[in-house]
Amino acid sequence: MRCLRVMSEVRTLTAITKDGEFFRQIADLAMRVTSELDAGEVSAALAEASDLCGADAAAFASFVKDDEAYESYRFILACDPTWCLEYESNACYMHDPWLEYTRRRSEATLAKDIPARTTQQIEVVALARRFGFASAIVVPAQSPQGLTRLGALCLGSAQRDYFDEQTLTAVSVALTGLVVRLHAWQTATLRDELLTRTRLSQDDLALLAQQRQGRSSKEIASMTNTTSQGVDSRWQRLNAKLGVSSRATAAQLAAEYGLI
Amino acid sequence: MVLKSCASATGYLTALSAPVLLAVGAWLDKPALAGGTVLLLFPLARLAFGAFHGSADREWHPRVGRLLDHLPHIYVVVLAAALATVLWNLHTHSLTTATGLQWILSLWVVLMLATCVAHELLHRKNRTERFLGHALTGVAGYPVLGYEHVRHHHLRGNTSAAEWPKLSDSVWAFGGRRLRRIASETVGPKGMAWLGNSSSPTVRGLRNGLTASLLTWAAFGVAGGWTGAAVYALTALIVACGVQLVTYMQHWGLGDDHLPDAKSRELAWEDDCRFEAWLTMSMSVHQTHHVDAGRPYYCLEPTPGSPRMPAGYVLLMVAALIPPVWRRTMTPALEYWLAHPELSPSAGRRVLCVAAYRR
Repeated sequence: MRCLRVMSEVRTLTAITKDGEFFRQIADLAMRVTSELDAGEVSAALAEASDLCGADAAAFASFVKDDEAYESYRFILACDPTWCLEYESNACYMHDPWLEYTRRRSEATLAKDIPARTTQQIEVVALARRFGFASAIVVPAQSPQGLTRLGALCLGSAQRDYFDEQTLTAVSVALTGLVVRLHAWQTATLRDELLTRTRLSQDDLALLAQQRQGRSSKEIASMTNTTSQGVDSRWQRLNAKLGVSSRATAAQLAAEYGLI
Repeated sequence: MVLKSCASATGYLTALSAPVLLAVGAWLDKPALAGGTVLLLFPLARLAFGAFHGSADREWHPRVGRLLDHLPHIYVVVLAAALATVLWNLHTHSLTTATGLQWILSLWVVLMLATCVAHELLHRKNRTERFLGHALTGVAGYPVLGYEHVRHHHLRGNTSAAEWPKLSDSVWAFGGRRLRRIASETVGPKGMAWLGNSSSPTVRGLRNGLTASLLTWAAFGVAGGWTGAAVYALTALIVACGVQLVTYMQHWGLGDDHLPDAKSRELAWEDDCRFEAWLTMSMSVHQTHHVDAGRPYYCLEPTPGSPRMPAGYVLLMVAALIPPVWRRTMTPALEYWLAHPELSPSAGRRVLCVAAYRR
């Protein structure tokens, strides 16, 4: 996180995007985001991208599409820490219309074109506007292979019309690569966290993969020379490790985290 | 091993007892049977079954574990059958004020306990089970429970958002404040039920619950006429208040107005009554649930060092309704826990352990 940037050099976004160097610099930045980086380094890269775009604030959110418990939400932030605290302590992610947009659409858009209709949505947008997102662009990222973890980069400016229709395409094209890399970094980090927390063995991962392929206990037992009761026992322990109540959910969870 | 595991798991079948009693009451035309039994006899079960030692470390036999996983589904079927029996009774018997009140009492008790099962389903990761959970909250007369509960988990310890009661709050003040807030966010003029986006699972769940409530209300109307509809409407209203009452009991004195680190600790009063844990699908083991919300009900046990209630839920519900009695009962327990945060006294097989906190 960093404090709201005070812009010393005012340059319009149109001028920035007409400079070919801008696209090269953003692409270089995206290439630097690898799974070897730690959270601080990724946050610094995001801040750098924000600076290159002449923006004042940037936030990348990652979450599972159907997560009703809001437990899968993770953020990489390069914006005013006061906003971060307010956003977190008021659980604003539960009502954020910009994240909501990411659930149903994959193309980049201007935040002003996303309607805020409920009382809570209006409050969330008002809070963002106070802290460097007076105008903003939202660039979503989807997961491949039927997985449902989504990502969204929100780049904001304290100037009301900094991001507009004229620059939307250029900025979104420039940022798409970075968004994909941030999404991949976040997924890899979550996968490592889950592996550390649950201490899943290679056998566990193989079992999850077999379930994902739709194999029954009997089929798995015959493949691994064990009894189906033994396979059931392993499932029981595995479900407990992952904190889920069924093997189908366990396999889906493992797939969402990129384990299988 | 299967038999031993089965024997340990049998207690959780207690969760089915309330809808079964409701059905028997409807069949025998004894409307107060379920309410009376749960409120008057069940609190005494502690004398027989004693304290709950939990099952977190117990490895359930896979088949028993699967059965316990399916118990909430079985419950939904049993509850549906019980409510059908009540509807049949309302359709075939004329309703007097006395029988109407008795039905409200029994339905309130059964539907309050149904919210515990709905709560378990709402925490499942499977989409169909969550759908069932929302539908059950609707049938129970409190369709906003799904949203309210997620909010509760994410605004832990927060007294200004009315998620945890303030130390100075009475249940009436807290319940009123919380109900107003939740109602405005969900079904108010700019509420998410009407204006929220259906791509949000929270909004979909809320609408699903509201639909289930309306359908249940209509079923009561068809079966019992206006009086039947009134019985369900009044029950739903009292269920909504009952949910606030339980939240108050579970978190009073443990919010950020009183404890600076409340937001990071997710503190809750726990009751170690074994029977109550069976009956409520471990809702009484509340702090443990807050710490690991996705853990199945049959894998929960009281957190060592958690604040412990000086009596069971039924007795404390009555105490909470009378603020001076509540303070007299709970203040010593709170002070005891603050002074001995590592101790968790158990009432053992006693129904009350208020005296233990006064020493």
